[in-house]
Amino acid sequence: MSPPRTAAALVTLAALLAAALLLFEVGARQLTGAWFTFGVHPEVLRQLELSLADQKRLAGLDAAGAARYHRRFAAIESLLGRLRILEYNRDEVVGRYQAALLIVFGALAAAAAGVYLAGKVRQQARLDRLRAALARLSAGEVDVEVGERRRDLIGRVGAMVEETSRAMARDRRRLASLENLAAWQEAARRQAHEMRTPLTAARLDLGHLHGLLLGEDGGGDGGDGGRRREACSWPTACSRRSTAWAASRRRSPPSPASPSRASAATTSGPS
Amino acid sequence: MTARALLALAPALAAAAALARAAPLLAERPVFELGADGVLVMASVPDVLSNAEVKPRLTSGLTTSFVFEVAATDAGGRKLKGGGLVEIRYELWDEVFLVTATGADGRQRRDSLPSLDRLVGWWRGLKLPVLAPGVRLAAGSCRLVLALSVLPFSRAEQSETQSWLSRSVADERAAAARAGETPSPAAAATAPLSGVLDLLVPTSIKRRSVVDFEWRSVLRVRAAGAGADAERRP
Repeated sequence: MSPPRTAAALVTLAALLAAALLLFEVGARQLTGAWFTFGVHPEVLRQLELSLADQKRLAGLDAAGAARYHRRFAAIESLLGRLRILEYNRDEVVGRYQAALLIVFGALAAAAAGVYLAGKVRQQARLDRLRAALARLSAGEVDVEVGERRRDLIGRVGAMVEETSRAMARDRRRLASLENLAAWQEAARRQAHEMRTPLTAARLDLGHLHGLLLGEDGGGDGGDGGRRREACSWPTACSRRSTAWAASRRRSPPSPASPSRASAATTSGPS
Repeated sequence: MTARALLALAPALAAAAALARAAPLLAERPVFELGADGVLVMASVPDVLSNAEVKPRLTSGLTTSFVFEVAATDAGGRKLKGGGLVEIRYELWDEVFLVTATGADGRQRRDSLPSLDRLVGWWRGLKLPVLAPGVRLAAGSCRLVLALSVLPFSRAEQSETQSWLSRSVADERAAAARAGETPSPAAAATAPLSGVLDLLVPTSIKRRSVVDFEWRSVLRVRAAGAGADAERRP
């Protein structure tokens, strides 16, 4: 038997013994009440017999009060007879009393055993629920509910299982979100790569065109020359913004944005 | 001889001692005869009053009851039951024995006897009808078994003591209630048990026999009107 069970059994036994002793103490006090203990004491009976003799003697000495002594004599005689009957039945009274105590004690012991067994059965049922919850948890089920609301050891373990289940569910959701984001990032990276290649070629072409334009004009600053410079500077600015956007995307870690937003950011960047 | 052997022999020794004490009484046997009206009458009852168990009871002031039970099996195989009652009470004030004998016919015979010797004489001369008047035994041998139980007090004294005990318990409770005493927690917790005990104690006052005797006899019943003879067979 494990130590906690031993302790519980000892506590139960001690409680039963205490109850039995309490009952016996209370019962013994009632049993040994004045009417019984002192009433059937041999000395009391002896004194009553002497009193009877005294009443008779007094009646002989005092003829005028003979009737009164006779009445007193009859009362004492009646009491003496009752006490003798009580004394005669003492074993029967004690036997019945002990039987009653035994029945009460037996009922208490049976009730205590019933409560103890019911507790054990209930505890076993709770342990079974805990074991089933752990099995569901180990099988990968999330948001497992044990259903334990008590604050004892099993209840605390159940709460821990539920907390662990909730943490696992939270981590799984976060992992799924991160996986989704990583997929979007990969898609954005590929799109950026695919866009950067033609843009680079376009930039090179534009640079080449720019060089050609500058060479033909010879640095004139007429109205057409200003428009040409503006036209030539547009690809350069475009290329710069694209490069800056790509750099910024590399520097800053991606936020767990929704796929739609990530898609929007990816598509709106180069435009 | 080991202690275990002594323990095993103890009941046998006790029984032998009891038998030895009762032997004189068992040697004597009552006489049964048919009365003039055909009623079975018990007579010459052995002197149980001088028995060591019985004699101290006679002067206790309580009514010692002698309950006779007769079981008869007549020649026709018919089983009949009857009995009688003798009550003896020593009146302590007057120092006389008041005796009442009640037969199966319902008639009572009362006497007042001044001494134990006179009481023993009265006992020996007692003739008590033990079968109802209407019962006729078939002619032939009738086997009779007479059982005598000596009870230390009468039924009336038993009832009176029971009611006295009940009254005492009730008075005690009433006095405590009147005084406004608050019962202790233990007493309050065991109040139902106290009620059960209060019921148990008065009803445990019972009449148990101090000593029992049994005699067997055979009565030869003659044909109607011819009378009967009691055989003295061991």
